[in-house]
Amino acid sequence: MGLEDVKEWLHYCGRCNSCNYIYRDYRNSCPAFTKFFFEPFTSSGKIWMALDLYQGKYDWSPSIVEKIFSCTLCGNCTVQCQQEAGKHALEIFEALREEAVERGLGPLEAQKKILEYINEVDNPYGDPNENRFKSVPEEYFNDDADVIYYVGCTSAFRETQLFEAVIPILQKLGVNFSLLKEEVCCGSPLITTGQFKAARRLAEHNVKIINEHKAKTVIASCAGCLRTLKAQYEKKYGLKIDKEVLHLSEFLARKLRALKKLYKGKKKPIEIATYHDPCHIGRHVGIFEEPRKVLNSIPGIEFVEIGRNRDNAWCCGAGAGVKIGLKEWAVEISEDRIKEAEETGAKYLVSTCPFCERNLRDARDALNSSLEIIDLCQLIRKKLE
Amino acid sequence: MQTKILIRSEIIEKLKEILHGEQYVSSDIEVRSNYSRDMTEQVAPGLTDVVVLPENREQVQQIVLLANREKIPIIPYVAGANIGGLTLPTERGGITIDFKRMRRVIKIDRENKYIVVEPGFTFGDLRRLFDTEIPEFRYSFPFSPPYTSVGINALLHGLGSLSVLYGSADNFINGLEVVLPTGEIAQLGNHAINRGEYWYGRSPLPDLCGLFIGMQGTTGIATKISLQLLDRPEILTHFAILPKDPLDFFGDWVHDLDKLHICDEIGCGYFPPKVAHGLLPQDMIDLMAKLMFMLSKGRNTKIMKKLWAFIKKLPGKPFWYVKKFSPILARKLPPEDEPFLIVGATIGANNKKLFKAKVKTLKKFMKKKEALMIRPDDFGELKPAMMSILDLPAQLPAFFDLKGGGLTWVGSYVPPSRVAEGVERCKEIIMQNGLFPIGVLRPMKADHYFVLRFIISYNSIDKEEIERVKKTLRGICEVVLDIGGVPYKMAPWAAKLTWEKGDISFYKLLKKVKDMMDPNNIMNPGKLFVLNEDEIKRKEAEETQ
Ligand SMILES: Cc1cc2nc3c(=O)[nH]c(=O)nc-3n(C[C@H](O)[C@H](O)[C@@H](O)COP(=O)(O)OP(=O)(O)OC[C@H]3O[C@@H](n4cnc5c(N)ncnc54)[C@H](O)[C@@H]3O)c2cc1C
Ligand code: SF4
Ligand code: SF4
Repeated sequence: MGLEDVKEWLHYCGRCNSCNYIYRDYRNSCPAFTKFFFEPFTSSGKIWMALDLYQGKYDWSPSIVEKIFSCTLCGNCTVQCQQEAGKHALEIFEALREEAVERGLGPLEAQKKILEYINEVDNPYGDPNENRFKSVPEEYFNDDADVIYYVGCTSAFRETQLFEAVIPILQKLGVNFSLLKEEVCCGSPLITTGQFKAARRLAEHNVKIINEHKAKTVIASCAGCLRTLKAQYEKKYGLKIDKEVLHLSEFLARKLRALKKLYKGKKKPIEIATYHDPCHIGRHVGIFEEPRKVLNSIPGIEFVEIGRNRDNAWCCGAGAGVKIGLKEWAVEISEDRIKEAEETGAKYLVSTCPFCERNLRDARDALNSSLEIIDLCQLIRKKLE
Repeated sequence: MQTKILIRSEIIEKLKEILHGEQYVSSDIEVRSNYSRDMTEQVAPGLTDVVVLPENREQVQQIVLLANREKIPIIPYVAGANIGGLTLPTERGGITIDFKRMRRVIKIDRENKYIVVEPGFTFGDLRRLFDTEIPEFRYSFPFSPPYTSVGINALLHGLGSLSVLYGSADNFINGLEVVLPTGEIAQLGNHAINRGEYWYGRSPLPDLCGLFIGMQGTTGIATKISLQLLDRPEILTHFAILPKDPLDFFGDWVHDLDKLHICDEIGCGYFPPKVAHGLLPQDMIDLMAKLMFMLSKGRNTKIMKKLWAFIKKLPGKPFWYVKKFSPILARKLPPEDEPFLIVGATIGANNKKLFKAKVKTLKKFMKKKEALMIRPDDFGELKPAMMSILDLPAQLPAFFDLKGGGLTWVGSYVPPSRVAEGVERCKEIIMQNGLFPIGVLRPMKADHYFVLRFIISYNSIDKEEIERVKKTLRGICEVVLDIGGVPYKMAPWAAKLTWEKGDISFYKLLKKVKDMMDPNNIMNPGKLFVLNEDEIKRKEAEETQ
């Protein structure tokens, strides 16, 4: 895929700038605009740049690549744009990335490591893939399970506390679940950095092992994995998972009654929590209410909405390779979110994505904030203790 | 595309020094190209050489001093949304100064009712300020994207929601701080005398702010703008009015309506159903079009009004019933390209009694004029869609989608007595050229002048259509001048037609002022000052004959 595939939409943006701000709220929506200001970092500027490049007005260059990859693909601009351009903006940004990679100019230097690691060990962290489920007892691999829990690389190799929280919750709920021993990276970090061709192998493998299993449902606790399994495999490669794919928050929202029973008798002091909508399950997939429902059902938790929320949510800054390619900037974006969360008076900033969680935590530390960054499942587990 | 950078690399290095590093200085080709075009049909004859994002007045001053010393053009820029090609560079290239980092509120003076802001402060920012901090005030919001500059809009004679009361937005300017083309800083307005304590007005001093109003950034850079805040009445309600005959409205009764002095805002949208698809929900367009069609045919007006009155009383969603009954109301939809007129009128008052009296007067008037008056609540579930247009700043309706990304117009102020003729003639020109007429019109300052503006949406990559657009715009501009009007935020080509039409003494004095203030002609060249010496002489000769 490249600019040829999106050429029809390259002239539709008139530069009204509405994409840089939240509709009728008027606070900034686009992290890249907020940091860099110059037009080609914005949605509109990238679209105009794409048209220029398609028309051959000037040549590709490293500075163009820098602009293309300084975008978290958060999709906030697409929500704010009331024009046709907005509906196609993400496709255009992805096409720009893919063409940059095709031309050997992208991704950013640090992001190239992702492909190297994945080629070597099937995950972007470079750890041997055998270690993915090293300490997981055999009983969690179950051919007769009803539900597959797709753990994802971040939970398996870095943010293991999430994985460790999900398992006991599923057990307490009596869910007959299984992990997949042969799980490999979902490919999200490759797809979002324009290296989607290289991710085909991963997609084919994951779809195969998932479809071979007799379970009817797949759940993911990582927002990025969820979006990739649910939407990207089919869109990018025409590969379909023949099971229902749910984010853990959706799954738990369906089991709310059972979950509530588990809390019985566990009196807790009231604590305030607010929620950060990860772009990958929020704007990209449309899961907004379920995490709130689950959060609201936790005894002792008073839920307070954060300023920019749901499809207007400020991106955490980690997505689309920015955390790897532009480390410091990713944390800067997150700092804005931490400040916004602090305004709510919350003790907890709850997320439903380990990748967001990690970046938010880095920002929290950079700001010396006392906010507790926690995944929804970790909070549930804590309240079940 | 000629991509060569015209200015020396030392200059770019110097700019980096002024802006403390590389982050806010760019001469990357994709940046230069992005800033050298806009949404209109106009094509810049050159590329800007470098774009800078200063943070404060001192940096702006340093940039101007450097540019003046080196005779390099400066193009001031906020969002480039002026629709006059006013931020496009010439073949001389230059330094584009983007003011997005200068977006601060410097001062809010509640007692003396003004605000001092930087040029990058936008209508969105202002609306947020009203919504969160100073709800007791309001301002005149244009029907433009919220992310355009409040201060620059005022400097460009902007027109907005409160124009019917106060006229164009330059009337709100209390004072300015400017960086002159030669680098000096000047304070203009009463705050210059009280040394910045109160930015409360321009009179009784000689009005030097005029040196920068309507000048399109050709005489200097505004770094602070003081703007009046208006009291917000406690009760404010918008109404949508459907007049029976648009031309009758413009020719006759909008002027009578103005005389009543009961409306705080009056804005008119005149567009065919085809165009409205992007602006309003389908149901609403069908309904409006049908209502209009019926009114204009003069036939079933009475029956329809009775039915409308009945429908309004029904529980739930009036528009649902209208949709249901619409086959009875009008068997077919009006032609897709026949414009209909919808007028937004706002009534404000500080107590219920006064408000009711005003509404009653308006109703009585509308009855006499056989127009339909609809409250937002009558729109039922479509109310938010209606409010998104009536409650400014509006998010830009889907103008870009009508044809494909291009948007342009000639906006003008015309004598109220000629507006109906202007509407008819412009509409004809537009339709003859195969384009949609989308009129956005306003009475100004108690009907002392009138906005005549037809928005042209076009396909920005269709060369043939662009030629038709250019022909149309020229035709409209000629009509405007012919009926005694003057284009605002005029594009260079429109400026040329305007000066050619006018008394050359005006242009000569204006040029004298410009030459005195900007001896090296660095400020936004190619705009406004478009007549050359030969043309001036020819005009002089013609006028003495
Ligand atoms: C769809 C649409 C609808 C619109 N409707 C309306 C309307 O109803 N009413 C209305 O009034 N306007 C309307 N506008 C125009 C627009 O809203 C702005 O008000 C506009 O005129 C200023 O735009 P900007 O902030 O992008 O400034 P720019 O376009 O960036 O600049 C405008 C001019 O000001 C100069 N300039 C910029 N900064 C400075 C500075 N610091 N000092 C001196 N000169 C400077 C520039 O060089 C240029 O000449 C509309 C625009 C669009 C796109
Ligand atoms: S992408 Fe949409 S909102 Fe942004 S400038 Fe273009 S048309 Fe406007
Ligand atoms: S996807 Fe996010 S970061 Fe990228 S342009 Fe849109 S709003 Fe900005």
